[in-house]
Amino acid sequence: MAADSDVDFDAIYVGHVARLVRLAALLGAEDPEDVAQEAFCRLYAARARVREPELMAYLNRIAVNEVRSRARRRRVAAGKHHLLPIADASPGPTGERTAVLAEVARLPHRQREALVLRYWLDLPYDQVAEAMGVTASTAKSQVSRGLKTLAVALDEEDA
Amino acid sequence: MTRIEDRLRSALTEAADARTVDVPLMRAELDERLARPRHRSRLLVAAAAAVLLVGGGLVAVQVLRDDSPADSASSGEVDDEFSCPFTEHVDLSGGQDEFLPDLVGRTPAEVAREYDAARWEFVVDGDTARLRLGNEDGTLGSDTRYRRHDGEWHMTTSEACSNGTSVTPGSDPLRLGLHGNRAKPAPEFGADKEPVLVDDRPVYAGSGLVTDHRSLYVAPCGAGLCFATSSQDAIGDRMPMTGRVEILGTMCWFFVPDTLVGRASPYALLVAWDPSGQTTEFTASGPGGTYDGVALTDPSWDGSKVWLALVPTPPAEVKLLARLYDHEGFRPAGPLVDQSHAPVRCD
Repeated sequence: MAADSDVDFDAIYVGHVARLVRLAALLGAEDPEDVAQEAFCRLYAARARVREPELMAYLNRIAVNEVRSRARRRRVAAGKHHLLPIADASPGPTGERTAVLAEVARLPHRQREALVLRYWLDLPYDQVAEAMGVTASTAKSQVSRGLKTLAVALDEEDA
Repeated sequence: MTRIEDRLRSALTEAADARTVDVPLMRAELDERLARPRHRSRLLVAAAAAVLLVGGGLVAVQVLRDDSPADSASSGEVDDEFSCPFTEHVDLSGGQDEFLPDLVGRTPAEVAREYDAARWEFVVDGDTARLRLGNEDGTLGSDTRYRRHDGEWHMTTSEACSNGTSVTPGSDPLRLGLHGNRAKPAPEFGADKEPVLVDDRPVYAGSGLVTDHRSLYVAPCGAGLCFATSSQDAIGDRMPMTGRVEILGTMCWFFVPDTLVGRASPYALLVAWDPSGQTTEFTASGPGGTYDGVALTDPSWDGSKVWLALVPTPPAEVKLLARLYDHEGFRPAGPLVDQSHAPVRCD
């Protein structure tokens, strides 16, 4: 962070929290607001060493890690269920959106992470990889595999 | 862009846009959260770091104490070496996410809590560190090494106990007896016959920690033969006996599902009874070959013994041939009891 004053922290919070809540929701978090709050708690603790250009990547990575951790705990508690529900609190979803999101929710968690980071946040592969804690080639292959699975499930042929 | 990419992007954008976020309310909640005891220490550390910034180079160390641990820490002692029969190297590339003890943004205690590790030890040695997650009895479940880079611990290698592979599922899986470090305590059979351990085998999660651990005991109980798991599980079964040398049948329920090979019950346990201790050999023949049984007894059993043979569950249509020999019998001419068990089903 450029400066570690509460004024700067507040501005960063206001500027990023909605995006982080939505990211956590798309990744399948049951409590996306809580994931975002946890990410900002960590940022607050680490604010002295997180520089401004790294801020978004830092928050993305914490959010991805946090959703992943909570999903693992849920799987253990529920007897290792493989699928995660997509958290969609919006009224009146379209049929097309519902169908696509339902298939996204059935993907292995890593593929889902890769697709959301790539196609919702529009991140380049190196930043997708950074958020996921993997190499760029792994991120690319997860995107590719996720798209293929989606294409088959949604009767597409052009993936 | 392909059509599937287009559909995906639209669906994600619609879903995200439809989600409302009450930023002022969340900001107020965050303030409350930061003021709670858990985060107070973080604030104090951050404040200490800010003060030390004036004095120079200790800042990084002070911040790392909280967010990326610089100090060794532990919760109970964990063995230094693996005692499980199989280990495997964890894929750190993210190809599988069953187990990934990532310390970026997390403390060792949080990692241990996530994987339900009863014990853990985090040892820092300069710019390298080691996190060992352990079971309740202190046995080592996983061993992960880290290297510090830009103030964060990055995983370099991770090794964890495993159930073997589908090619080699477990340690000598058809051998009865102790497979782990120690068995759970014997149950109370309510008779004057002492229980004898039949088998004990732990099942490992992706984290290398034991998720299921059953100890099976047997003892004569009146006109039957009683099987039971440890007093902590209290699962039991009873096979009726006639009092003669006989093959009592098969049992499947004790051996937990082996998800590695995708079958519900990979083994069947053939059981024979010898009230006078005259028999010398027990075999079970199935599609994969002939399997030798083991005899169990105890001084309190008055000379009787039980024969047990663990075999891979054969296909439903295949019969098993079980044979008991006495000391005058010679294979293949004269088994004392020659019994075809058909078809064994362990669904």
